[in-house]
Amino acid sequence: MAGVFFNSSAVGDHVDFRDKKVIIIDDFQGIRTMLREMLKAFGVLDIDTASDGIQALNLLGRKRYDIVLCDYNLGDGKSGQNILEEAKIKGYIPTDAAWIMITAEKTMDMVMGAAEYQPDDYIIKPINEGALRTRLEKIILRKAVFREIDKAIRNKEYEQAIALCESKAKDDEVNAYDLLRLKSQLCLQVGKLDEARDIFTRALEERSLPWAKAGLGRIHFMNKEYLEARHFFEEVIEESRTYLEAYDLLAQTHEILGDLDRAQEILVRASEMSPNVLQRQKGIGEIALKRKDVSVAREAFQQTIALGKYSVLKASSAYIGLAKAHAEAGQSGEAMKVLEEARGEFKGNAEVELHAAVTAGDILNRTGDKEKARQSIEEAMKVMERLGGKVATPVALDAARVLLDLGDRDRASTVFSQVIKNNSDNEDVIAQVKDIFIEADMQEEGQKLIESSRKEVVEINNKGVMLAKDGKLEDALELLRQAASKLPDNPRILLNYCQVIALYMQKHGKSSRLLHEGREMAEKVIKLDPSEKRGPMLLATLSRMK
Amino acid sequence: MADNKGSPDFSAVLASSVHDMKNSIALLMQSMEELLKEIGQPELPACRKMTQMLYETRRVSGNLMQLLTLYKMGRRLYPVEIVPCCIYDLFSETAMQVEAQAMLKDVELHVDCSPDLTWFVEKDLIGSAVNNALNNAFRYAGQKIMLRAVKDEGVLVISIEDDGPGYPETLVGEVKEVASGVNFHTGSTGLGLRFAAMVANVHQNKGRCGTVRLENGGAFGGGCFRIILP
Repeated sequence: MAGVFFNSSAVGDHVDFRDKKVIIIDDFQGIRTMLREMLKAFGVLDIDTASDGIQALNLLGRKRYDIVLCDYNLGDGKSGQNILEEAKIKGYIPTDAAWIMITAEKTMDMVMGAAEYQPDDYIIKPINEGALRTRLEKIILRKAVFREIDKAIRNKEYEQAIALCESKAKDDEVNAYDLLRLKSQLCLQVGKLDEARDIFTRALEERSLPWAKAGLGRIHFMNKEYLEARHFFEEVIEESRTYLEAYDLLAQTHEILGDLDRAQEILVRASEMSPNVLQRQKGIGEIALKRKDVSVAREAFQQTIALGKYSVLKASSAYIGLAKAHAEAGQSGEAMKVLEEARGEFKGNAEVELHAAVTAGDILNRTGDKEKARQSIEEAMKVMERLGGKVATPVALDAARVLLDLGDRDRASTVFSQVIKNNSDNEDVIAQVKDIFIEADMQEEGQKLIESSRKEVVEINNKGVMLAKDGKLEDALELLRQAASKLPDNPRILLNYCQVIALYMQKHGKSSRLLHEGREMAEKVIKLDPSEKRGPMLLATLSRMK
Repeated sequence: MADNKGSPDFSAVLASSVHDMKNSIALLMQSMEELLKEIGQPELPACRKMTQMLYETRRVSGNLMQLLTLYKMGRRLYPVEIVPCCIYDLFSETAMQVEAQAMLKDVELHVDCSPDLTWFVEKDLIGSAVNNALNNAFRYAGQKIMLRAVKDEGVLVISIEDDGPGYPETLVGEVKEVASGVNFHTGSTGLGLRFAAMVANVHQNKGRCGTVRLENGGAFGGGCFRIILP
C-alpha cells in the first residue's frame, strides 16, 4: 500500500482548526488564494486576507487572530517585519497567537534580529497543505507550552515566569532547552546572575552553544568586568561567525573600553552580513560620529533613516546624528534641512523638537550666526520648560553645552546641574560634563558644579533615610517620590525610594499601586546598573509581598 | 541608500530572482497536486505524466534553494542556527511534502523515529537535505523507502534507505565536500551530494564534524544515504 507510514506516533492533543481565526498577509494574489485553499482544506473557517501593511494593521487592530501568516517580502511599503513590530508595540497580538513569517529564503536579517520582535516561526516556500498543517499544529502546541510563561512575562511577573520555566523544563524533553534558555534571559533581566551563570555553564558542558557562551560574557559585562566580557564575545564570534548578537555586545564592550576603532569595525562586519538592522546602523553612525569619521557616519545614519521609513521603531536620534555629521563636514545647509525633516517626521514629539532646536542652535553658533543661534536656543528652552526639565541625558548635555558656548552661564549651570544630579554616579556622563567645561576653559567651575550637585543628591538621600529611621515613612515616601520623578536615571535615589516603599508596606500593609511602583523602580535600577546587588534583592522582596 | 559602486550585488540579484521563481513554482506545484487529487485516478497515463512533472518541479525548487544556500554559505551570509529540534516533527513535515508523490509512485514511505527524539540541528538545512535525498530515493526505489533517525553513541544518524539497485560501488563511502563536476551520462551534477556534505559539515560539536555516507544494503537491501551529526 502506497503512502506514508509512521512506526510510532506522537502522543498529545490534536489541534482543532475549526475555531481558529487566521489572517493571511501577502502581496501576491495567487499566494493568498493558495494559502486560503490549504487552510480551508484542514478546516479553518474564519480567514481574512490583506495585501499590504496598512490593510493588515487595520485588520489586526480590529480583530484578535489566532494565527498570522505573513509574507516577509511585501514589495514597497511596510515589510512583514515592520508589520510584526508595529502590531506587537500596539498590543494587537495576544500572547497565545502564532505569528508565522513566510519567506523564500532564510536571511540573516530575519533570523538574527531583536528577540522581542521575532516571529514564532518561519516557513520557507514552497510548502504544501500537509506540511503546512503539520507545522501549524506544532507551533500551536508549542505556544500552549509557553502560554502561562508568556502571560507572566507580559504581566511582569518575572519570578513566576522563571519558576514556570524551571518546572516545565523538567518533564518536556522537546522544549527543555528553549525553556532553560528563556529562563536564563529572565534571570539576567531580574539580576539573578548566579542562576543564569549556572544555566550557561551546564549547557556548555554538553555542547558549544553561542548563546550560552555569550551569556557568560554578558554576566561579566553586567559586573563591569569588561576585559573578561570581551574575551568571551570574541570567542563566540570565532566559533560561530553568524551569531550576530555577539558582534553587538563586543562593540559595546570595545566602546566602554575606549576602543572606538574596533567598536566601529566590528559593527561594520556585522552589518555586512545583516545590513537591514536599524539599531546596528544607528550604532555605527554614533560611533563614527564620535570618531569624526564623517562619511561612514553619514551613510549609516542615512541607512537608519531609510530603514525606519515604514517602521514604528524609527529613531529621531538618527536625524540628529545625520545633521551633526553634515555640519561636521561643513555642510550646514544640508544639516538644517535634515533637522527640518526630523521635525516633520516626529510632529508633536516635544523631545525631538527640543533636540532639533538645540542642534540647530549649535550649528548656527558654529557658523558664526550668534543671533539666530540664540533664537533657536530660546525656542529650545521653552520646550524644555514645557517638559518640566525632564529630558534625556544626551539632549540635556547638548543643550547645556550650547548655552555655555553662547555665554549663557546661568542657564547652562541649571541644565548641567540637573544632568549631574540625574547621573551623579555615572562616571561616563560626569566625564562628558568635565570635558565640556575643560573645552570652555572653565575646568574649575565645572568641578565645583559637579561637587555641589552631587552633594545635593547625597543630602536628599540622607534626608530620606533619616525620615524613614525616625518612622516618618510617609514623609520619606513623599520626598523620595519627588526626587525619583525628577532624577529618573539615578539608581541610588530609585533604590532608596524602593526601599522606603517596602518598609511602608511592611508596616501599613500592601497597596497594589505602591507595589507596582516599587517593582518598576527595582527593574529600572537593574537596567541602569546591573552590578548593583540591591536591585534584584528589593525586587525579590517586593515579589514576595504580592 | 543607493549603491553606486558599479558591480551589482550578485547575491541580491540571485536572492530576488529566487524569490520570484519560488512563488511561481509554489503555485505550479500546488495546482498539480490539486489537479491530481481532483482526478483521483493515479493509474491513468496522463496522471502518471503529471506525477513526473511534479517530481521535476520539486527538483527545480530544491535545486534553486540549494544553489542559493551554497552561494550564501560560501560568503558566510547564511544564518546558521543549530538548535534543539524534534526530529519527529521535522520528519513529519518532510514526509507531508512528498506524500502525494509516494501515493502516485506507489511507494511506501516508512518513517521510523521516536516522537521525543531531539537533536541539535540546523533544521532548515537538514530538512532540505532530507527532502532532496527522499526525492532521489523516489527515483530509484521499487516499492519501499525508509526514513529513520536514531541516536548512536553521541551522534544522530539519519538514514534514507530504499529497495532499489543501490549506489554504484565507486560512490560508496564518505562523501567529500568537493564534488566531481557534471556526469553527463547520469545527468547528475553532484549538487545534491555536495549540498548534503556541506550541511553535515556545519554541524560541529566538541571538535567533531558531521558527515554524509553512502552505503548499500540497509533495511530494504537498496541504496542507503546517511547523515551523521555530532
